[in-house]
Amino acid sequence: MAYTALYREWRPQNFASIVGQEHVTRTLINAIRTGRIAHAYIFCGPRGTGKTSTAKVMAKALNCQAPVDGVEPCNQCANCRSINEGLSYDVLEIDAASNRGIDEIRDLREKVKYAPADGRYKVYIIDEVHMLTTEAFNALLKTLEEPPPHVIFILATTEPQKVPVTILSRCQRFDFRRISLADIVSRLEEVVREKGIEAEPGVLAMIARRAEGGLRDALSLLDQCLAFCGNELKKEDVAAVLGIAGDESLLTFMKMLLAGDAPGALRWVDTIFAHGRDARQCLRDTIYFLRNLMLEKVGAADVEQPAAGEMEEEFARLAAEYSLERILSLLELLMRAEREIRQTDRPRLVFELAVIQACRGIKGQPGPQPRRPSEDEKCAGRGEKEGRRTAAGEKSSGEKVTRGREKAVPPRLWEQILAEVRKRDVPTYAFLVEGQMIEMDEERARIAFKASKSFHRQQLEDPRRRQLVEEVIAGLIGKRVRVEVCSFPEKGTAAEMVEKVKEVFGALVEEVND
Amino acid sequence: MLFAGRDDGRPANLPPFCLFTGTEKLLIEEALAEMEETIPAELRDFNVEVLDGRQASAARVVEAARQMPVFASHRLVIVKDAPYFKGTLAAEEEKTLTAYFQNPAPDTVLIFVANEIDRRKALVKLLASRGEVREFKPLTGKELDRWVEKRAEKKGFSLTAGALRELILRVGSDLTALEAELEKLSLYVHPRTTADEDDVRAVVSRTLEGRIFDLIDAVAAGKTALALELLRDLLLTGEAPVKIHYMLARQVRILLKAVLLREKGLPENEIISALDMHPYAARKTVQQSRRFQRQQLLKAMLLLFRIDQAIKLGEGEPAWQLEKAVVRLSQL
Repeated sequence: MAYTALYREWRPQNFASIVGQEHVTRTLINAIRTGRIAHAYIFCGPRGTGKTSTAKVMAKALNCQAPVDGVEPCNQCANCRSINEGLSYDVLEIDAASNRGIDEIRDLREKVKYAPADGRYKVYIIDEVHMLTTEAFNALLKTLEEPPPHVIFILATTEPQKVPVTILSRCQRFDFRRISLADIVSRLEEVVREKGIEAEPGVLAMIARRAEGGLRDALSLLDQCLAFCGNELKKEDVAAVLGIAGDESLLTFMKMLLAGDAPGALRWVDTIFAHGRDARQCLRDTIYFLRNLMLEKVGAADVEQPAAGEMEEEFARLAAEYSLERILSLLELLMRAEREIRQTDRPRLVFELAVIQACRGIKGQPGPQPRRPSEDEKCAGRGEKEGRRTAAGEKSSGEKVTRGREKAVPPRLWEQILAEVRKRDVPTYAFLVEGQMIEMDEERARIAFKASKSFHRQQLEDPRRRQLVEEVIAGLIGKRVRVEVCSFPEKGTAAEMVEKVKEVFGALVEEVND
Repeated sequence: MLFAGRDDGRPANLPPFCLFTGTEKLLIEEALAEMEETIPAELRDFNVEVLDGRQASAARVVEAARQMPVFASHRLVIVKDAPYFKGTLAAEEEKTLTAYFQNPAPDTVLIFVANEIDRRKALVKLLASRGEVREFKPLTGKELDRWVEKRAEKKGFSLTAGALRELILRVGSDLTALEAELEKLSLYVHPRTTADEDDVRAVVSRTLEGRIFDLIDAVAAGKTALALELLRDLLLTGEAPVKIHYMLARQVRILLKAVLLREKGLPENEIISALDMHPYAARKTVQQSRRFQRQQLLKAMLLLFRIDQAIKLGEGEPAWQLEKAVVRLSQL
């Protein structure tokens, strides 16, 4: 006998065995009981939550010759059997993804007229209905507006918002829910028991988590695991199949970043380049790890699990050890680096800079450092909370002192200006914060923006905004100066990188070769 | 007798012609059905004529109206999607209709149905003075509640006050949608005859706005895990990340408006009406706004602005950016 995939073998054959959609089954059963059957239903919900299965059960229930208890399909009679085998003339399953044109729907409209052959109703099940073309939708609408009394449509979709409102409003809509982890696990347990398979504790939960609330996915994954592991499901093997065995070395890298171990992390970067691994992919994987760590930290790890076994414990430990802020800012930093690495022809430099930025201030910082903000955020500047941004501004203004011919800007002044502007007008602050004061003397203050922030620069050229900043400065230093807005003179990135390297290593710049 | 009832003419309470306008289709359908009921069911085939205004010329309409009823006291001519009452109309068409309105057939009720009309037009004024213009606006407030209650009664069940509120909150004031959800609800609670709030929550579809509202509620309550779960649901049902982001920002903006109005010292009722939403939804929003400080909401705006930037710059998966946003929002 040919092998039947688990999800087909275990497809629910009656309402009672549909998992986790009680609100749907109960309503449908009552509709059959009271004879108030709608002409069209639409089942919405994530994949693998039972939409098509429910539609088939419904079709059988409507045509069954000897329904159990008045509603449940018997799965024995000729009608039930032919529907189960997909041979029924009365129940037609259409995959809208591959039959999406107007011709198919016209064809359907032609045939809709004929009375059912064996059963009481003709049931059209249209799967993935959102894939239909506009013309096909319009044709379908015509049929839905005046359906022959013996016809019932059951539409199924994962993306109801792509279905025209005119269609939706003609259908009785049911929203299928993601199936809870517990429900999936218990269903998997049932399967495993039935098949006489040994499963290590926790294995089924691993599979269930990966399925994201879809039972079909869970069963398919179980199938894959069985094909690989035979009749004994071991944690390690399952993790390997699910691709969550996890890269130990990536985990190590993430730990080094979190701990601020710059030398270690840089050595790691060196090895991946030496081994010719795809830097961007490594970065992406690290981001994925961190994002899962974030979920773990806020207690939402149930959604998905990054790793199994020892790695699982490791994640729990890391989540306990590091602050959410640390995890988030590292995540943001790496996400930005991942974009930059795509746009640069020096991926290694970008990667290393990101690493250095990530590690700064975590180790070897003298004096009390209540929060790390100014460190990790100096670079992560954009996309952060205000408090930390100010700190970033302060630092950079302090450091710019040494740059070229520019005149010194008193330390902390920039921070004060930002804070004061923010109090008066948040939008202006939002633009100003992207700039840096690079120069200030008796008459004028120059605020520079990176080339990529030209929008912000233009906003500050607005006289009203500029005046506001001038007033704020006057209030702080007791003297009115003219505010000038400009772009950073040099091309930005290269010189900035030099700055950053200098900040970290305290080196002296002898010469810059472009 | 061949022309029985013929001499009765049109019943006195029916106008010679009328115009049904407005956006509430279900109410118009109901009014039309009511009109049809003035003709005995067995005679309707001969005495009710329905025309499509997009295809029928004025002459064709008048011709239909001038026909005589068969066995019945009067005839019904219904013109759907009538285009004659807004924009410019060919002089010929206008003349034909004007002539008819001045001298209508004695035993016909001519009904036009038009979504939109221009009341300044001479033709509309003439129609209104000699016949009737009925407007079917969406129901609001108490009227809507009563309509829902009556509908439920027809289906043999009733709603608790909480269920009614939750239903309207979830569905809005679209009567067609309300009708569909009531049908589903009545089947779900069967054989019980009362539906409560939990029943409504179990079966009635939530709008995107509603789901975003719940997400923000979870954020406000510091239930980060729940908020992430709700976000996951949205993503898995195919909502575009950029749209989810937009909807989050929109809700924050409405909340900010509510908070600012309260700071100005406006009483709650005025805030509710200033929000310009359905009263139930506005009340809920005002309740939600009490859980936020102005500063928090401003920060939230700024945060969402940056997330928007990051998504559009292509920094990582948009879905992860949203997750990060939800986590950050929960920390405000």
